[in-house]
Amino acid sequence: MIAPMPQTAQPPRAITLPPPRWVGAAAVALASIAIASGLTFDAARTWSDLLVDGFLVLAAALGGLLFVAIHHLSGASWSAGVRRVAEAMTGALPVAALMMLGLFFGRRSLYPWAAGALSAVRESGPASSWYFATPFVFARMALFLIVWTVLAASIVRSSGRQDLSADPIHRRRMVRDSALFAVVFAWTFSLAAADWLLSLDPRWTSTIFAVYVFAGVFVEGVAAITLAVVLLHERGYLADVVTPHHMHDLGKLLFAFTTFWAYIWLSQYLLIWYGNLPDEAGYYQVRTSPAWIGLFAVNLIVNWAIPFLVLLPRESKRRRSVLKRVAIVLLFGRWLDVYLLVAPQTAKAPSFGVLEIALAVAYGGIAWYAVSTTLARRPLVARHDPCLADCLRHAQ
Amino acid sequence: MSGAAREFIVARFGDERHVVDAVRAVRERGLRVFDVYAPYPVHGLDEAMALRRSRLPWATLAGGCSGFVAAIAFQYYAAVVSWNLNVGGKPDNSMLAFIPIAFEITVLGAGLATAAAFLARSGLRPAIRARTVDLSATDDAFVVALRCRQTAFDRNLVERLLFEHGAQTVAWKVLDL
Repeated sequence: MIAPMPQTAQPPRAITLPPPRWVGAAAVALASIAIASGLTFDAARTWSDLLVDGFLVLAAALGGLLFVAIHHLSGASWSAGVRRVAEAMTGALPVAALMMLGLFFGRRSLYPWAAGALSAVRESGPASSWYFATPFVFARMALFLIVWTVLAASIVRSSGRQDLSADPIHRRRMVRDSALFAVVFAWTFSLAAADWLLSLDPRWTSTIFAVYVFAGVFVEGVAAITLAVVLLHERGYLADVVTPHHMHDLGKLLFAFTTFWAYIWLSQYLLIWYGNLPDEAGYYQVRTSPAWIGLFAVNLIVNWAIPFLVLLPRESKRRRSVLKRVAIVLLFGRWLDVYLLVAPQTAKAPSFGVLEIALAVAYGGIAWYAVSTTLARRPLVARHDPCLADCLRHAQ
Repeated sequence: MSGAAREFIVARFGDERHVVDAVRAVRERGLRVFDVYAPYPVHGLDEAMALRRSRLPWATLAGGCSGFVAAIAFQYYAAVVSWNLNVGGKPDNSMLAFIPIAFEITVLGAGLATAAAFLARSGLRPAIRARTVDLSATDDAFVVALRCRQTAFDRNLVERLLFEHGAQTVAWKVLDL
């Protein structure tokens, strides 16, 4: 009944796991070329794409960190076998921080408060001038990114030390850091979502906005973890660690949080539609105008209808091939969702072309490289995890 | 209740792992397990007993779909056909405003259908007589019941098998289960 302990079953296999170096180099090169040519021909469009893609890389990293934190705080055992995958995703945090802070150079084409338009809207909007003074905004951004990166590094370091010694102090430290992260994240992420996305239109507010963005971040994290686990499994890793029972749990999380996202989506849209207040309705007026309504509808289909209907039967939540496809669809959906938060504020009509694809591929490649190298640095299954034995015989 | 009292072999266990092992061993000998009584759901027991998957989710799905259709239909009838009111200048058929109620009624319908189907299928209704295999099954023990068929049973073999797999007591009882 009890599977063998994985100390011997799962060697690091570091020889085949890290991606070849050229992948990282090619992604950086593609990003440089795309950014350079994009800024030359259409700077506004390039900056809004960079915000979208940078935020998605950050969301994947934060999603992984959230997954780890929730794992530790809830004392979950089922996820002990995939904890390393989630931890590895935080390896994208430093590059995501660079991507987000690089937006400093594009602030004038992205944010009205940086373009000096704030005085015109200050009377009618909630954005105050001292809060949106450029140095303060970017100092906040840097502070949040540093705090998240430090907490992630601390959790990952304790996890690495636990591989070497079974001392319970390491687990206690991970739980402590997770608790700290949960509290810090709730505050800082709400403010960060407002700074990076909500302030694109300083006249518009929505009190549920941070929850909405958070729902997307968590969906993206779980989708990325699921995809990574399936891809690893296909290559022969985690074979005796991840069973259909574990896939079922990941599938349930995907199912639950895509629906949670739709619930928050509706909560925001319904109230604004119902109230029909001039301050609020403009946001959706733009997005339901002929130029955007197509993507607006596709967003709901891709991010909710498809995963909901596909994942409803029990069997599809247990099947790796189904989960892989749903996770890929959801990652496209995440791009579209964030694109719809950003682009209608910075462009008249959607533009989807070589630039968007090149930037998304480049940023995705950089994130993938960062995550894979982090993943290859340690054993694929955390050793000495007190939950691991339970995880291995986990059944629904 | 169901009438005929029949003879059962009733084995009591103190540990969930023993129960799963015993059930598996009994089934491997080609004997059938009548039922297993446990104080809480035991992982792996369904597989060991080779129970087929519950069909209860279909009742949930049917209840949920009916609830959704009923809620949308009623709201449409009320707001558009029967008694249209101008609310904030919105069109009568404001489907978006129907969604929260449709959602709630979907959940309600699914929940009620699940509970009702479960109670009906398990025969749980008011004024039924409790049929207890062994009083310890109402406390903390795990109890395995086998139908005792005179023709197909070697009593000693079954008894030894159950004891070998950790049964604390094995009793022969005439019960109306």
